[in-house]
Amino acid sequence: MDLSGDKHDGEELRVACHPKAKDVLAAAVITRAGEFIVRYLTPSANDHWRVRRHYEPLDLKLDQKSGFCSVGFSEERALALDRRGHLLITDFVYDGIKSTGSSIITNVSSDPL
Amino acid sequence: MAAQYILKVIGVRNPAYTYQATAISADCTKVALVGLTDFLIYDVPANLRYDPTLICWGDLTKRFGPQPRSAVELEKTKDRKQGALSYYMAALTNDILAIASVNTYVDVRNARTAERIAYLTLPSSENQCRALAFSPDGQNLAVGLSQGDIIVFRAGLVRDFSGEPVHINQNNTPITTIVFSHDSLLMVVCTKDNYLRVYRVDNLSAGAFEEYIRPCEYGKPPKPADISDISLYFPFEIYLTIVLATHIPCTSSQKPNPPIPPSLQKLQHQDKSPWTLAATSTTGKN
Repeated sequence: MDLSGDKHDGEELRVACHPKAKDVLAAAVITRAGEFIVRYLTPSANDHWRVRRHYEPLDLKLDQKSGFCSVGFSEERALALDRRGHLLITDFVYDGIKSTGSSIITNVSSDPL
Repeated sequence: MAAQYILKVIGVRNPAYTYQATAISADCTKVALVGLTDFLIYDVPANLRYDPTLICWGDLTKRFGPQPRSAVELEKTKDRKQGALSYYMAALTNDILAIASVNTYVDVRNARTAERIAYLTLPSSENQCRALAFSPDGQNLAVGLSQGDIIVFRAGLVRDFSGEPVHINQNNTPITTIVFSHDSLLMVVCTKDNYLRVYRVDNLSAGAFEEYIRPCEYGKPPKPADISDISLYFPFEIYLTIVLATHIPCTSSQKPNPPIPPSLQKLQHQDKSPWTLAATSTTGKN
């Protein structure tokens, strides 16, 4: 799904970058609307930011003035957690052995468990 | 894969309970929920073959363990009133949880057993905690305060944070965010006046080696809440780059290449970002 030029409410609350940024240019973001999205540059078309959205929103009604939700980004996954205990997980799927960073991101899937 | 879980503990929390703070470890394998009087730490398996599991629970007293006490028991205890803190900051490494409140201390706990490791005292009750962060290696715990103080506690050999902390205060402006780089070598502090200051973790007492400020060039003056969060990355291993999440979308007059999402602003020395270097820069090299 190509979401380059994707629009959201424009107000982002939390951000975390992929730790191996020399391989992967990607950031996980929680917006003020409670969306958990991962933005990344595709390895083949570096001039387009792509977006993967989590299919469930976080509950940030109490976080509008002071954001106490959390977002994390490790080499293999991105997590988001709100104050009601909703935990959203996006794991990056590898094809076979561990691939390079750029190809990890292209394999992000939005399929529910 | 994308997955969703609702972390709840039957018998203690009602489904509508709202925790005061949350935290995720740098390796994304543990999460913590911090309530008014107690906290919960969950293991989030890396392969997602198993659901997140509760590792341990603790409260403000010396009580802790693998499972929380019942809600009734918590209500009965006298400790509940005594320990009714307003926790609102939490930071988590793979093995340590730190919790700060509006009161003058930081509670440091073992993230595997919930046992208390240290009870770190902050300067005064008027100088409240506004930011709390561990370096990813777990060796530094930084506390940002409302009067501009930054206190960095070193873990030390036995990881009890008992050594003399490093105390920094550059402009008495409230700290809003503290983050460390993924390699734990740099610390970036954001203050309420929209300054970003970059410190070398191994030489904090030398002060910031770089400063950034957001100028008033978008038709609106900087607002105290402009910067809601910061994260660092090193795309080219040379230049320090900061990705910001802002409350107000920034639109730069210069079109960067590659294009940056409207509210993901990239700071680089060599580009024309909407931020300017506020102080003489030595280098952004890591």
